[in-house]
Amino acid sequence: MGAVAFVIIAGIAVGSALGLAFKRNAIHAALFLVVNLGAVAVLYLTLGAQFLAVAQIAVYAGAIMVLFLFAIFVLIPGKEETGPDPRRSYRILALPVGGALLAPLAIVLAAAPRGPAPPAAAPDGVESIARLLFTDYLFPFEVTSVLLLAAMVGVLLLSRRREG
Amino acid sequence: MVPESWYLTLSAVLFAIGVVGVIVRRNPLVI
Repeated sequence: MGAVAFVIIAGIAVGSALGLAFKRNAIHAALFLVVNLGAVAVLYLTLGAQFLAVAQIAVYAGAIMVLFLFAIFVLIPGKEETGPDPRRSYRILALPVGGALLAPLAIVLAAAPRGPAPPAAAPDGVESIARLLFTDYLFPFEVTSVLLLAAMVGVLLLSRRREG
Repeated sequence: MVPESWYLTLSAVLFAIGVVGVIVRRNPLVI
C-alpha cells in the first residue's frame, strides 16, 4: 500500500516537474510548480516530517507561489518564449554544474541502505524544532531575522521613487 | 514501508529535470 502511494505521488511529482520544465506558457509552468510542491509536501508526510510538509505548503506553495504568479502576471502576461536566446552560451554551463551537483547525490544513493525508510527522528517533531530554535539555535535565528529586516529596508529603498 | 533509496532516486530525477529546465528555458523568471 505504501509503495503504491509512493509511486502515485512520485508520478505526480515527476509529471508536474516535466510540465514545469517544458510548458512554454510561464503561468502554466508556475501552476505545475504548485502541483509539484504539493506532491513533495505529501512525500514529506510519508516520511513523518509533518513540520516540513506544512512549511512547504504554507511558505512555498502559498506565499512564494503567490509572489511568483504576481510577478509573472505583471512582467510577462500570457507571453510565450520565442525568438533567439541571448544567453545560450551561459546556459550550456548548467549541464556540467548540474552534473557536479548530482554527483554527491549519486554517491549517497549508491551507499543508501536498501531497507525501508526510518520513521521520524522524534515523535514530537514540531515541539522539538521549536525548543531547539529558541534555545540552542537562538542566535542564528535572530541573525536571520536581522537579515530579513535588512532585505526589507533594501527593497523599500530600491523601490522608492526618486524625488526631484 | 518504502525503501529509502526510492526517495533518493526520486530526488535525483527531480533534480535532473530541474537542470534540463534551466538549459531549455529562456525566461529568467521561470528559471
